[in-house]
Amino acid sequence: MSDLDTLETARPSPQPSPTQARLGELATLESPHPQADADGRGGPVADAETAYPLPEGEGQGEGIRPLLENAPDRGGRLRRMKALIRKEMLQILRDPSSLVVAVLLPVLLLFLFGFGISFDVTKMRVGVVIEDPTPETVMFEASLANTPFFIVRVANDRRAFDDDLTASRIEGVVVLAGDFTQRIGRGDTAGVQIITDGTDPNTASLVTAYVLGAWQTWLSQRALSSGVEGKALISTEPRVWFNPELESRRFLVPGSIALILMMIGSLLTALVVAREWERGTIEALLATPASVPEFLVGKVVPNFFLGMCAMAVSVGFAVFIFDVPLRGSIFMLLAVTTAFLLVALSAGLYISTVARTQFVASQIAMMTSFLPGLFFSGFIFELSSMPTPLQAFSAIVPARYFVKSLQTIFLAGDIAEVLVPSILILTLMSVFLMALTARNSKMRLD
Amino acid sequence: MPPKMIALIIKELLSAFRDPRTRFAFIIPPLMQVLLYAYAATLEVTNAPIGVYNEDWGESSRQLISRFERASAFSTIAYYKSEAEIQPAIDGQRVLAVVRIGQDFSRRVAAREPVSVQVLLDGRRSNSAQILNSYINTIVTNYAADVILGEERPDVSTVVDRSWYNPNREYRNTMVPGLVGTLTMTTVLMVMVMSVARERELGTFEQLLVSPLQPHEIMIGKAVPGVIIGIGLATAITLFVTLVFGIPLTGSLFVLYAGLIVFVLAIIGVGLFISSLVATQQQAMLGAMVYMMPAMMLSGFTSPVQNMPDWLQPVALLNPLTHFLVIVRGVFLRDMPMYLVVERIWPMALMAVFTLSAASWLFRRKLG
Repeated sequence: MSDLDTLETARPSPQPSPTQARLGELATLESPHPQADADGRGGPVADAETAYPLPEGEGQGEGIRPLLENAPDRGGRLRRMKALIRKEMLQILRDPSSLVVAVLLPVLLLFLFGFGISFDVTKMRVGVVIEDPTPETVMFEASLANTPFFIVRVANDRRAFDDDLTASRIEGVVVLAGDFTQRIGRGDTAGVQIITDGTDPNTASLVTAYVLGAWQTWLSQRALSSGVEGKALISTEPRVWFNPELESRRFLVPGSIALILMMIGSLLTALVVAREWERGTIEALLATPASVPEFLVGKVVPNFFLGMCAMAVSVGFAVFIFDVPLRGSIFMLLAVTTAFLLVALSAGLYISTVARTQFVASQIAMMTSFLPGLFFSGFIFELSSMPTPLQAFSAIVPARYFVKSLQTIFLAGDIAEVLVPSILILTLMSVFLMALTARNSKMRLD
Repeated sequence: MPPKMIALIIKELLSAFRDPRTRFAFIIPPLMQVLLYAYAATLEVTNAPIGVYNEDWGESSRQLISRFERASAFSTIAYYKSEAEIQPAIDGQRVLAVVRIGQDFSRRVAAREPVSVQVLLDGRRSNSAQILNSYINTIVTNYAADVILGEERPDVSTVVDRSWYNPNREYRNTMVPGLVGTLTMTTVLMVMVMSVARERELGTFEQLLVSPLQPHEIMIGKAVPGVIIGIGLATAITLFVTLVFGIPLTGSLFVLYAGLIVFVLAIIGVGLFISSLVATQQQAMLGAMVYMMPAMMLSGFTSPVQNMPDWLQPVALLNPLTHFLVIVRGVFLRDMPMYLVVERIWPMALMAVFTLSAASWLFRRKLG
């Protein structure tokens, strides 16, 4: 309590006038180091500073200590930080909007991401064109219709499905040419043509792959029933680890959690500091003896718990609503989340040093967290296929490491080779951002 | 149009663009998104690392592996000497897939006995893994066909695979035109939600009420700038996309603009409704966000509506953007004729009528 005590000793009158109090605030605001002022300056400045408001009446009964005893006092710092944290906590609890951000927003976003994005085409609507019906074509058409993947419509002319394909009413057309049956007998090419809608490349590839699969199955069944050795000479036997059902939701949901937490984390802190500026309460805050690091810690700690709440809600939603397995340990989940939240929160703090209104702060937070998170995290889009400069850029997107870690913890388990480097990089990022914020935030009003 | 309304429209346009920050928001984020979607939005797998564990010492396996080495889809191929190396490599995401060739591969190929090659895939990225698997499958199947072709005719009928409208299945061709829909929606919505809310917050709303304009004239005066901005922006993006990225515009512009106008009207209705509902600009922004997030996610922009759960698909059809995206992609890539576009225009027209009348009802109610 070094500075406060010094102020006590120099205090001329017990009750300062409001104008004096104002002056006192301003004087303190001028310098990031109130201690130096109290020690080094005398006269009028010291007089003004005597009007320093004391937080929560503490320090009143502290007695008077000599000026020289001003060694760094950890007790005071801790108490100031505690008070700041308590203030932030109360603010969060009393302001429903932050609870909305921490609880409702993740649920809403996870709902949208979880149900809105899927790369699994469960029902492919295909048109089958049979130009010349024979027992073979009917059998093949039936074998397509019998798989759970296709909804089949049959026509006998190629042009019948043109409009349907153009209007996105079907995903593909399978054409069995007029000489289909003869060609199978000869082992010739191009008996079957698959036409897909290239405007949706992912679905187009899936339709092709599934029709090809059905075609090969049908061929070997046909060969089997006619007693001919028909199995392909070399076949592949895919084994998908971690996600044998190939459900895209299983990797999209952990990815969405990363994106959501990035948005919420940076939004939370970007808004809290901007709010202080907007409402003018920053003056009161700057007038306290709290130094920049204390101020930052005071902002980060409560919002960290709020972010953890958001994470808990998201994980619960993922496991119980979306049936995503959680194969890793809670401990690793906590460790990675801690490292990532600190990055998101310090990014938010940094934003708030630039933006002083909630509107601008939220805009910047969304712009800097959502867009890079969407594109450069590997959550949806394939990083390795991007141009090299963009791949290099993705290395500084924190969400990238969190997406990777969450996908690993949820689907694969505690794999140190993925998690440890991610945690280290995230920690470095948060240290860097914190240092940058501390350097840039001057305790000044102008 | 009476001169007093023209004056109102000019005033609305001025107040929408007066703020430099807003002007910035009209140009930079759309431009950034166009570039990002053009260069970064791809699900293609063109550069993936894979691993090979070959237990076979014969000629055939070496031939097969050399085909993997020549394929352009794989960036690097790691060779493993023992089974124990496979798991850590996949776990640590050093490779996306491992091809495992068994001991008797060459012997069985030589004896023409059916043999299989194991492909281990990382399901943490199951979509990419599936794509990679189909590449590997193609290479293996082609190799098998060539082995057999060497001596006798194969008893396999090959299948011809064609993609219409976008023959190379390029993501850019489909993602970037979609932006004509999403960016027009976000921008028009932002301008519209602010228009009434700003007047109310700044207190100029009363001035508007004492002007000789009727309430419906005020509404029209607020809506027309939205139409101008929406059509202007859509035109700018269309020009940029076709000229800079060379994305083909195969359909007719008339059809595109027919859809665009109805779409913009529907969005204006939503925007004015939100704007009449709220008291401050802050709330208006929030309202716009609350509408925009679901509208973007449930539109088929990122992944098709068809992939959503069955109960959610009707909800997606209530979204004007869903219909407009079909029109935009249709006109850009598929030369969609008018009679097919009409199918998508009338639901949007219904939405436009509904949202615009709801907005003007709310607007008049708030006046009273």
